Amino acid sequence: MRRVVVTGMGIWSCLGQDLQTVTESLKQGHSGIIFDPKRIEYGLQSGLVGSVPRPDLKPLLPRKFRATMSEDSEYAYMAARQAFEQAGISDEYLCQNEVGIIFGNDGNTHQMDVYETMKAEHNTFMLGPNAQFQSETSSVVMNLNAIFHLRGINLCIGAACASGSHAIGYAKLLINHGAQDLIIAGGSIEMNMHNTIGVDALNALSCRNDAPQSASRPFDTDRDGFVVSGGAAALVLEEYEHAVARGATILAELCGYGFSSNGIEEISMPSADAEYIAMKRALDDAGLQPSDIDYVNAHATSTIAGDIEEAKALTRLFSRKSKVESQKPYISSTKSMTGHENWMAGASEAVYSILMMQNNFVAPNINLENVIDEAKELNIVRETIYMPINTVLSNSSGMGGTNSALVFKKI
Amino acid sequence: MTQQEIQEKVNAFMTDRLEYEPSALTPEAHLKQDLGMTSLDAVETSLFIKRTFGFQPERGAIKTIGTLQELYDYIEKNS
Repeated sequence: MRRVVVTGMGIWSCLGQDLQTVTESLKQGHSGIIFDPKRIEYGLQSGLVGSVPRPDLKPLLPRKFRATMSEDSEYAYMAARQAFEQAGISDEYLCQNEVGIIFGNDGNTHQMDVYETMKAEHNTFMLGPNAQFQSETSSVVMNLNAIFHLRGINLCIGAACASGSHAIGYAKLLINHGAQDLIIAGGSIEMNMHNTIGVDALNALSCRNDAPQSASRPFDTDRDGFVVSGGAAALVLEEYEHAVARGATILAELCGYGFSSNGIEEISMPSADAEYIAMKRALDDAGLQPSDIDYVNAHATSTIAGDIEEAKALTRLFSRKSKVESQKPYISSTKSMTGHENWMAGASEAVYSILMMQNNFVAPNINLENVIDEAKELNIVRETIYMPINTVLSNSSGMGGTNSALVFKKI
Repeated sequence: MTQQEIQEKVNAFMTDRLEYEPSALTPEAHLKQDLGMTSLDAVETSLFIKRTFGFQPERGAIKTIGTLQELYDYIEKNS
């Protein structure tokens, strides 16, 4: 089967808007979370959010591109631009070669603005020409295809908070099987308040409004929900020989993708069994044993139920009694620093994990004071560790019952 | 509203919103061929006219207009 490698990455997140800044934030255990009082005024219980700036696209793109872009398309453009640049993919290359795009994105709240206008005006004329392009769930892949002249697979994957991970996994499958040589894959999500209302109504968000930087507490006994964040992350995925022939620098090999669905009646409940299956399937796809994994980037969002189920799955996968302590992988949830980047999380956490591999460190699971019982057998990292990382498992899970896991290794 | 006021408002819209080159905004400039007006720009221009001059252009009307001077005249006649 054809091998898949990563030759470029881009990131626009609350930890930074370039790879170097994000690397330093990860090393330092920096939290990107702030309190925004406007969220409370709007009617949310949680005023916590990742601090992610809107990019100024005017110097970068003509109006004809900017006019139809949704908020998440703007972040995705910035991430994709960085990824193509790192991969050495020029505009000329994009015009002369077939490149695909698959992004994880599970909703776009621009539709709410459309409804507001219709409610007030009762006249579609007042929507103008851009509403349709801005409010589609696939707005990101439609806009980026136009900007970058992409002519391969063009697909948006909606899979809740595993969307970004599945997008990378699907791109891998298409390259594995020879359908595409090069795909830009990633995840993106808006940062506006509308996007948060549903999960706030579910009481799934942290209400530690007076302590934003310690609010996201994966695996900690005092966690009270997740913190919303977002932006975009993008990876250039390429068939190995294609990358070598192009003279590209290979950042990592994407060697495993696993997936599963919960299949239980409680739609909001995570499932340790299903998460285990996704992670085991990713390891099998990579041809690796659990003991081969150096680091796990956990999905752990700081919710009551989610962290428990994932800890059970990780314990089952890695902490067998026969295993020696030194064979257990280091584990952290970078969501302790970023909050939950939702549709983008699987992609951003792939980027964070590869940055750790490239720079020989494990980022900490900050705010972990008292570990939950279910995670006590796991090697959860509380302070940055500097050591070579050769293999990474990045786990993702989406509310509603979708799971995805990716395995990367140094090459 | 005088034609001079119409011209000022239309030209401001075209430079600020549609980002057309100010130097290209001559009365004889063809909307599509010289200014590069797209079908989306035409819909945007219709919305601008409704908001600024108080009447809603008929469906597809802007696309049938040739030059900028014809657009000024169309607005003056209908507002």
